[in-house]
Amino acid sequence: MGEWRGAAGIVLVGAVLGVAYNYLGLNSRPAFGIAWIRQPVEVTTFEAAAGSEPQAVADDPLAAALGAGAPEIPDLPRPIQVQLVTAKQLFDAQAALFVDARDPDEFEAGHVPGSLNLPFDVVVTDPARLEALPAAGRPIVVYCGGGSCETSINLAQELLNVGHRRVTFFLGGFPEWQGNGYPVSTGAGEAS
Amino acid sequence: MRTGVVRVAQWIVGGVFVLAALAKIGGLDAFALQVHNFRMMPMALENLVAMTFPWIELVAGLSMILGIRPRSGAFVAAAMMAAFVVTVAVAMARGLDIECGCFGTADATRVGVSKLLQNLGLLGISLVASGRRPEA
Repeated sequence: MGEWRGAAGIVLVGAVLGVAYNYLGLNSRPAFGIAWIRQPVEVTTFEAAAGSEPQAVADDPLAAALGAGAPEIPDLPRPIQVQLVTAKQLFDAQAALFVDARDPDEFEAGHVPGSLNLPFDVVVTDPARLEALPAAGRPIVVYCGGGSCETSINLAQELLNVGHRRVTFFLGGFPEWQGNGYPVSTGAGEAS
Repeated sequence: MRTGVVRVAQWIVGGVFVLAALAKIGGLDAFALQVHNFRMMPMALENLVAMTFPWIELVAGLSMILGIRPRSGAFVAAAMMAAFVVTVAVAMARGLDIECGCFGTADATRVGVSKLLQNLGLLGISLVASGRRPEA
C-alpha cells in the first residue's frame, strides 16, 4: 500500500509545482505561463460586424458593375468569421490575402489559388513568419480543413497578435470551397 | 520479476517522462492548445491540466531515475499512460486530425496508430517498472 501513498504524493507534489511555476511565471517579467482558465477565442461574425453599416454591395448594380463588389471588412481587434459567399466575393475582387493553415501536403494537394501556406503547427512557434505575411493592407482570410477545424480561428488570432489587421476566417474551409466548385490550385506553388 | 529488469524499465520510463515533461514545460502555450484540441474535457479545466500534468510527469520521471520511491513513480506513470492510451484512442475514433502533444511541440507526430502503439508499449514498460508480478 506504500506505493499508493507514494503515488498520491507524487501527483500532489507535481500538481503543486505546476501551479506554483505558472503563478511565478504570470507574476514575473517578462511573464510566461498560461491563464488559469482557458478563454474561448472571441470572434465576431462579419454579418454582425457589418450590421450597423449600409450594405451597398448587394443591391447596388452600378457599384457592382464598377467592380466595387468586395465586401468592406471592418477593423476589429478580434478575428471575424465570414461565410463562404463573403470569402468568394473577396476572392473574385482579389481584395484579400488568403492564408491556408493546413499542413504542406494538404496544401499541395489543393488550395485556394493565390493563397499562402502557413501551417499552424509550424508558425505558432515562429512569429517572424507571421509578421512577414505580405498582406499589404488587404484583409486576410484564413481557412483550414473545414468541419470543426479551429485552427483557422487560432491562426487568425495569432495574426492579429503580431499586428495584422482585418483578419477573417471561414470555418467551412477548403472542403466547402472545393465542394462549391470554386477554383483550386495544386502544388507547393506560393510557399511563404 | 528480477530487480535488474525492473530497474532498467524504471530508467527507460523515467527518461522518457522527464524529456516529455521538459518539452511541455518549455512550451506551455502550445501544449495548452494541444490539450484543447483533444476536446476531452470542459474548457475551464484544460489549462489546469496543461500546467500540472507536465510537472507530475517530471516528478514521477525523476523518482524513477533517482530511485526515490521508484515504484510509486512507475504507478503514476502507468496510470498516466493508460489515460493517454484512452485519450489517443478516443481522438482517433472521433477522427480528429491533431498533434499528439506528447512531447510538446518537439514532436509533431499526429495522433494515430503508431502513437497508440507507442503509448501501449510505454504502458507495458511502466507496469514492469512498477515491479508487480503479472498475476498480482
